[in-house]
Amino acid sequence: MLSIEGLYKRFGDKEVIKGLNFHVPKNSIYGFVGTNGAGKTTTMKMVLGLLAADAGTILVDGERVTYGNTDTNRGIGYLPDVPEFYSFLTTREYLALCGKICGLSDKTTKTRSEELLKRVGLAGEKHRIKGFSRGMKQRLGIAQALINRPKLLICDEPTSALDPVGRKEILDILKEVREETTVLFSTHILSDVERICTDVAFLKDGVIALEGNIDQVRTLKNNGEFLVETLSPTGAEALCAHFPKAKASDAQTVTFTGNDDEMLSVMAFLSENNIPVLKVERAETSLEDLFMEVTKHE
Amino acid sequence: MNNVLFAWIRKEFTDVWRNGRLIIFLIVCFGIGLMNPITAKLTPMLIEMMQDQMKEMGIVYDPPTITALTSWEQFAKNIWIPLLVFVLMFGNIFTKEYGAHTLTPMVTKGLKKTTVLWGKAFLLILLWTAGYTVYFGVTLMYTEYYWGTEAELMGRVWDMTAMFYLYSLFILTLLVFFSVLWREYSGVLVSMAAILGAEMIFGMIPKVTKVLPGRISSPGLLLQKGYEERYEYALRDFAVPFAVTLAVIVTLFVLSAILMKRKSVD
Ligand SMILES: Nc1ncnc2c1ncn2[C@@H]1O[C@H](COP(=O)(O)OP(=O)(O)OP(=O)(O)O)[C@@H](O)[C@H]1O
Ligand SMILES: [Mg+2]
Repeated sequence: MLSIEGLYKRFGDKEVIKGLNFHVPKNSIYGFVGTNGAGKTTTMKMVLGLLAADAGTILVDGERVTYGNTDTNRGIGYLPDVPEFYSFLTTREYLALCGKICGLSDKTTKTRSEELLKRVGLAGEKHRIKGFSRGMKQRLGIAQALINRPKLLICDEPTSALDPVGRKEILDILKEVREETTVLFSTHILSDVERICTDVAFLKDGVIALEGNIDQVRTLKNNGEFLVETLSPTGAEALCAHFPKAKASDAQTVTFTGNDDEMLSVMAFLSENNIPVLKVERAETSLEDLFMEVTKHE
Repeated sequence: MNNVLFAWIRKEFTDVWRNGRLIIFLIVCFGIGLMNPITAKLTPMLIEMMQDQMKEMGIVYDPPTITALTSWEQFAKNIWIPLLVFVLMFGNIFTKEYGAHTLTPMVTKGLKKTTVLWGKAFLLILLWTAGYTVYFGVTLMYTEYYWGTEAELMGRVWDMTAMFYLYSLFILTLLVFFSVLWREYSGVLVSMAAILGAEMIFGMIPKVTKVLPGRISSPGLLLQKGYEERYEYALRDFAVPFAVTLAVIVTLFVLSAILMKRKSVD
């Protein structure tokens, strides 16, 4: 859906993006993670043709993005990090204007507006946009971005201005629209990524430090750790005696490093020797740990 | 496309309508337009009131005869005020959107930046034309009511009004052009002031002043005594700066469109 190759961008003598490559598959929810100032907004603006890239190619649904040209934007919905709207219009008037720009018929715009306003929780809002809170603007931002059923929805930190309830609602909306669109969203809230993303990329020092399907990424960095908790300390001792590589974490818990075969042989040993087990668990690396590892300064 | 342009103009109009600036501007134009005949009307009264005082001081003064011409001279003298008010009230129509980032959601939906340009330029011209018409209309109405303008003078009044209208379009074009060039309103105003200042300086060279747009910025010349007899000549005198102004307007709009396509409006 979106494919970026060899992207470079510098501001003055500050090189922000240094040969960025990544691919957003169709119908994925792609989490674009990076620390403050990593260049997430910069990258998104280049995808939208709002900012000129120094080098590299960006393809949106196979169509090449060029700076200043808005043609590739027809299929994109964009929610800026701090969305600003015409304060003298009402939400419905604003969406009507958006619909016109997207070339929708008045009737389509109307039904779509009502549907979206209900979805983002602004249906009862009859006032002008002037005086909207940041969270309300964020909600309207989602609505305007989705008005033309874009093939690609780009959201720049959609949840950072919202309260926990609002955050969950917005995440649910992003999850729902996955049926009809591809979502690329930037964030530094990793629990959001864990909650809804199918794919993730970590941006670090102007390049992607880690990218891929979320389960893949997890196991990728997972060095195959698993632990066995036995019912009594004797079981743990037996395990340690038989497997020299095993490490005893405490009296009843033993940690192993190894692949699935290793795990199966441990389980075979447990059953052969009738060792009662409390639990066998694969240690999952949390995204948080991964992120810390990826972004830590050498 | 036209549909989009129309929707865009409507949005711009809604802005100036709802924030009340359009009404205020029209009221200002009405007020200044009204002042021209009223000032003319009140002049003899004021002089009469001061007559006694002046006699004491030993000044002998013939009260001037007030005619429609006096009112139109006031009209020509004050013609800058509505234009200045207009530029100050509506001149930020482009730059305020750059600062507020309100264009970002629009252009990322595929709104052409040239549509933004034409829509805003059209609205500026429309609003200014409305205000200018009010300014002219009010002066005309009251001048007719008090004195009546004879046909020959009326012809010159029309010429004068049309001439300054073209000059005002030149000012609006500068406004649009610099709004495309700069991001800040202050930059726009300073650039416009610089252009007008430069024009004044070059205008001191007699040969040059004959072709500059500034030539048509003082339409009151058409009312002067000297021009009365050689009016045909006078119009020919203005033909060159008229054509130059028109050419500058067209050129600046073409340049604006080219630059706007490349501009970062985010
Ligand atoms: N117009 C600009 N001129 C100069 N430097 C810029 C400009 N825009 C961004 N930068 C720099 O580029 C870097 C990346 O900025 P960017 O806004 O893309 O970060 P981000 O990943 O979106 O951060 P955040 O999480 O805080 O939103 C920053 O160091 C910033 O200072
Ligand atoms: Mg950002």
